Amino acid sequence: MDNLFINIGHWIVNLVMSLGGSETLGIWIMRICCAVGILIFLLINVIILVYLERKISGFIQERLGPNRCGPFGIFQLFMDILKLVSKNTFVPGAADYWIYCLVPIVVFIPTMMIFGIMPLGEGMTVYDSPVGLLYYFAVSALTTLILLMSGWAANNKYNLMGGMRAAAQMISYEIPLIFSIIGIVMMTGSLNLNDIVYNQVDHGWFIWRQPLAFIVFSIAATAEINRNPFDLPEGEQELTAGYQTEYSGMRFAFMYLGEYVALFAMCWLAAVLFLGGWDGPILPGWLWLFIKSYVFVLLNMWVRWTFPRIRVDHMMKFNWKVLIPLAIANMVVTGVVIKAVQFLA
Amino acid sequence: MFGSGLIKGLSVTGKHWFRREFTEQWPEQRPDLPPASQGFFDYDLSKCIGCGLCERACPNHVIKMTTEKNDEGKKVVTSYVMEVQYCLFCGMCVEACPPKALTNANNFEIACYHRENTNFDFATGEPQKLNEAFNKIQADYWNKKRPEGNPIGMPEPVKPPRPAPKPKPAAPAEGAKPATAPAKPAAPAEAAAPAAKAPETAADKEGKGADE
Amino acid sequence: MISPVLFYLMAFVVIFGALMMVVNKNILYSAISMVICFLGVAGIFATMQLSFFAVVQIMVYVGAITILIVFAIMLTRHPKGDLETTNPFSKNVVGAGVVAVGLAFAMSVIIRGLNMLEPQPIAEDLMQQVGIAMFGTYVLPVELVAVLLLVGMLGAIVIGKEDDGQ
Repeated sequence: MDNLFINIGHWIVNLVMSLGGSETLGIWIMRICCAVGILIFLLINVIILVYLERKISGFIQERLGPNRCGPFGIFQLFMDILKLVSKNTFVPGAADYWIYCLVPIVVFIPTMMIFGIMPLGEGMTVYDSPVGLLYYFAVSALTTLILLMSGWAANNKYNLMGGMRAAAQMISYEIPLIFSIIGIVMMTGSLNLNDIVYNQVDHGWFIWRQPLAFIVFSIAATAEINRNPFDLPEGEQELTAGYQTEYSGMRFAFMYLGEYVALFAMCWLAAVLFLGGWDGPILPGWLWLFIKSYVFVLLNMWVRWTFPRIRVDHMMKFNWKVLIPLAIANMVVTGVVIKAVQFLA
Repeated sequence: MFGSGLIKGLSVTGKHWFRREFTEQWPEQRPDLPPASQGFFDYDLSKCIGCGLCERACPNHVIKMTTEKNDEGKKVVTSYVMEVQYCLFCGMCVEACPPKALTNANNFEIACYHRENTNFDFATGEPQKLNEAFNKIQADYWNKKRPEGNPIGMPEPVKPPRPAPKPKPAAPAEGAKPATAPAKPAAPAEAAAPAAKAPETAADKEGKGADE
Repeated sequence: MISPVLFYLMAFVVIFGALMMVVNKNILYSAISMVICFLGVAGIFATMQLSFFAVVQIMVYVGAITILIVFAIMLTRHPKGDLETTNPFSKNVVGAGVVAVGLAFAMSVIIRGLNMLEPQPIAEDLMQQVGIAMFGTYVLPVELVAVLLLVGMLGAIVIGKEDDGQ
């Protein structure tokens, strides 16, 4: 049970070999099943996340969330998707046709690519890359470009404002995000996510050893994925519009789901980096990782329904004047402490 | 400072997260309507004298009434149609009716699917059946399922009390006023208390006015 | 060492992206094709097991430079106002084509004549080697590049600052 996915992988290879295929064919089929499995895993999790968001927002506001569609409202998302599918998919006349049609497809891709290097448990990574952590940030950079294009494509001033603000926010907050991680990388000596988890198993979780980095990371991560209190680009829907206007029906559904996949990926990364990954006493490792990432998801949702939105100039000032100095200070102190410990020991 | 406000905000939301929700889940839970809430109408054909004041009071000309003289020469209402799709529910017709034949009912569940079903002919008695059905559902709910232990049953619609008669200016102010509080034995205790307080405060104000 | 199929696939993506970028009349589509080109280059790095450079290529080129160029496109206005004709071919297509082909031919002749190094196996701890090289052997150029970047940023801020009349 501990190595659930590894066992499933071996079972698939054995199945193919018993049916007469060679081992390489078995391994290739197992890899394809891995990819499809990760896709299905992500979609199921997004469904759970959207349901959780609506229920938790209801409970925090002392009301029930959806509770009519199915027991406790669990089929609400399917009904919503049916409604979105049945909408008239039009392209605005003055919009850029190819980019408008391309953006909702591409917005999903980077966040799904991330799960290729994320450990799902002990030894259960689809591709254990030596630059796993850096890959995550590179892929976030792809998302920035896509939001910018989504802002441009609809030929609408609200879209463009939302897209520009999204781009500005995301590229600004990448910096404290990466700087806060560098303390962890210094203490581990490697960018490989599995190495980071092994380090936490040996020496203790990074949430105790790098508390300032954790705080900076949480804030920068919330800003990076455009969640409240940093959801200027999309929350402008209430004020003006945001980068999701002019996208109706299934296109909007894809962008909405893309946001939740990004949230899930970020919380998974935070669980791997700070809460010790698949380290845990009784339950199997992948279940612990699941629970830890959902702790972060719940925390994010709690924060979302508590705080008002940050103004755009406050956001910029906060980033450049508070978060980046804090992150750099964390880096400096970590470096000094590492060298001091090496010197004394 | 240093995020203490943020933590306080989070603790407030956290407390609210685990409190009991106060959503009223219709149609299993019925709303606790105040006694004087306006909904649909209750029309008493026996009390109606056919004066047409309600027809004239209505801002949107919702009420359309036809009368004829019967054998004894008395005016009799033959049809009393309300086109409720135009009704504002302002209550001016209820105020205007002299014999109080047209009254407010609490029924708010009168939505329908076709426009022609919004024309109700009250003289036939069919629309009043809607009110009866609604009252029965409310009574069933209040008598069977109580969310919290509230000892009294369904609140009955209470007619507003008639104001106390004005005292003569020469009479002493404090002594005689509480005696003129109207007695409403049918009303529940809690409705009688504000009803008793209202003429008292009105009388107190008039007493103070008399002093000054 | 590199599987030829993968290399030709990535090379096709790079050349396709570059061609689309040059040929497209719409300047925004050129920028998107540039992204495809960069992703192809990152793919070539990845086929050579140079994971660090592939990732940094994506992060720097796609994540920063493309966004910079797209911002520049969005914030400047074509005089005719129509995005469709912002990137037309020049008038001297034939002459430019002749020069380009000649240049490519000359470059291929020169590159074939060079003595290249033998392909060496990539170290297992590529990241660590890069780190040691950057901050051990070559720390001075890295610091100078950092100062250069700082000067560039300051220059951009000074040029872009509003004129307060000081």
